[in-house]
Amino acid sequence: MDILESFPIKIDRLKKAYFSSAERRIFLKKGECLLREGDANQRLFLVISGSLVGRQALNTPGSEEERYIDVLFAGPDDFIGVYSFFSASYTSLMTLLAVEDCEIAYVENGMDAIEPEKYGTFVEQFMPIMIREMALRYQRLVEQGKEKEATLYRLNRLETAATLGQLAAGLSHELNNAVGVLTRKTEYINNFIDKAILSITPENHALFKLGENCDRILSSGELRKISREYETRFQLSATQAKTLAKIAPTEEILANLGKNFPQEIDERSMYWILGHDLHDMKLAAEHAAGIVRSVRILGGSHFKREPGISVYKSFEGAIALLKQNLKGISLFTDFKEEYRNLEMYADRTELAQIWVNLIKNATDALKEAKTENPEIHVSYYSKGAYLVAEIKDNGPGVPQELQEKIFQPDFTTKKNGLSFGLGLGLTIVKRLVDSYYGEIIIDSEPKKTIFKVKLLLGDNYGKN
Amino acid sequence: MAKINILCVDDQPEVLETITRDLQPLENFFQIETADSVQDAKALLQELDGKSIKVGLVISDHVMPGEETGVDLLRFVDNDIRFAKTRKILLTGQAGHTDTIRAINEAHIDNYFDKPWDAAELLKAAKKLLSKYVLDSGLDYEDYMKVLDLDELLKSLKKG
Repeated sequence: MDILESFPIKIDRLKKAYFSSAERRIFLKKGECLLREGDANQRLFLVISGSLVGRQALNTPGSEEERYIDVLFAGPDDFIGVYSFFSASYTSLMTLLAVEDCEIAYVENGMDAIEPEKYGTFVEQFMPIMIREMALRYQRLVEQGKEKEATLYRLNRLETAATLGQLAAGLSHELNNAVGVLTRKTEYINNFIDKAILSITPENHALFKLGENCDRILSSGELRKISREYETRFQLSATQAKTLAKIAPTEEILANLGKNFPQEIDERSMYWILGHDLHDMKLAAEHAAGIVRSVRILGGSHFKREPGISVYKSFEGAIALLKQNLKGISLFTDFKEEYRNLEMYADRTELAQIWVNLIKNATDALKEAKTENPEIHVSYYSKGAYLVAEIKDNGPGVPQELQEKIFQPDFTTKKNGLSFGLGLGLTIVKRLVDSYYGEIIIDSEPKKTIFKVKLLLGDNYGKN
Repeated sequence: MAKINILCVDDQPEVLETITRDLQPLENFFQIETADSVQDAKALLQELDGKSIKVGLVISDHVMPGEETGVDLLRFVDNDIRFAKTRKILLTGQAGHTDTIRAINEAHIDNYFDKPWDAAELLKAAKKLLSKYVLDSGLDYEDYMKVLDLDELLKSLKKG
């Protein structure tokens, strides 16, 4: 609400009538003081040019340091001394300092009203100014309240992030070491067993290798179907048939194992199982390492944000990281030349993290749905104070009812064995985007899903 | 002797494999079946019932992708008269969660295990619940003597 607009007062007449005298004028240099808090004041001032700040001392008993709060800013056409003048206290409520060189006009207490027959008494003529002044002060109070609220919110968020960050940093360090040991020792054991089998029972080495490199995941239904077939075909018990189905789900593998294998299942299956266990252990360790990395970022262990981070390079980095995932998918980087040198106040790791998560999500969605001619388009541009980036895919899309849910920490659509989704990807993105005072918008329909990310570009971020 | 089925449900094949391996000592007496989704588990239950094969125990993971959770599955089993005597174990990564507590009450779950569970504990619980199932169903427990829980048997004999 602009008080000046909602209070269309005839300031011009008052200015002309009361404040045009060349005698009642004060000129202040920048830094000079008009009045001190508590000074006697019999004048009502009008700022002609320049600006002043009004300050009140904060009572801090026992403190040597002088602290004060700015309670008023006055520029051209603003009145000063309204309180002391009209409340008849004739004592200045605040110290008034010139922020720049000022020209100030004033009227003295006890002055006669001008044209009272037409405009009423002195007080009546100045009534709108009193009201306007009160309204302005009220508005300022409201704004201060809002500012305080915003500051508290920011502080609170920072505190949460800091605690989480410390916790995450400690956790990830400890876990990383533990996972590292598990990974390494698994490797040792794997190599040892590999050699042992090769020398003790070479005929079972291929079987061990088959288990170790088995990435095939059969659904329980498929497995049941195959094992029922094997049960009758090879006269096996249900348990034996199931084991055989796991080892040799296709005729090709079955043939490679030799025609006697089904009958030898009890004696030989353990080599495959051993290999497969090692495979799972390695995969689990890798997955745990991945989780540790994600948690560290989720904890918001803030990296170093600085100006001059190239948006183009952040995309380049993200795409390089995803080379493996992008196999079989056409990636189009629609980067316009004019934004090639676009820079922002950011941390390059955080930026890359946002792009990596969104692009990887798109690749996962395309693969999961087995989309034909899968495509991902990546582009960015600047709009006002914001960077806008778009990641578009031609996958099946995100159903309307899930669009809110996908940002929740435990939501995931990925379920393939140990490489299942942690359900943290988009949560991380959301948090990061929030921390850049940005937003993320999903626009999704079958064959066209766009994740649009807006991030604040500028140095305004510096408030953090 | 009719082989009683144990149905294990988890969306992660590795976990499913771990459960079945933990239960391996029961294999000579019980048939262990697996399902990787609630949907598949329900289909399998229908199929088994159609063949008049008994299901003594369902062990299910809690949170799985798809519309229904393991709790929904166990509630389904609980409400179906055909599986009135079937015992239920819930595996969960979030014990103490209000949803889990509600589930235990609503689906009359016999036991829950926090992930990761102790293999021996799971086997012990499975034995105990299967003993109850065998006794409740009036089956000849002599057939299962080697794997059943002796305490449960004694308790039942004292009562009987």
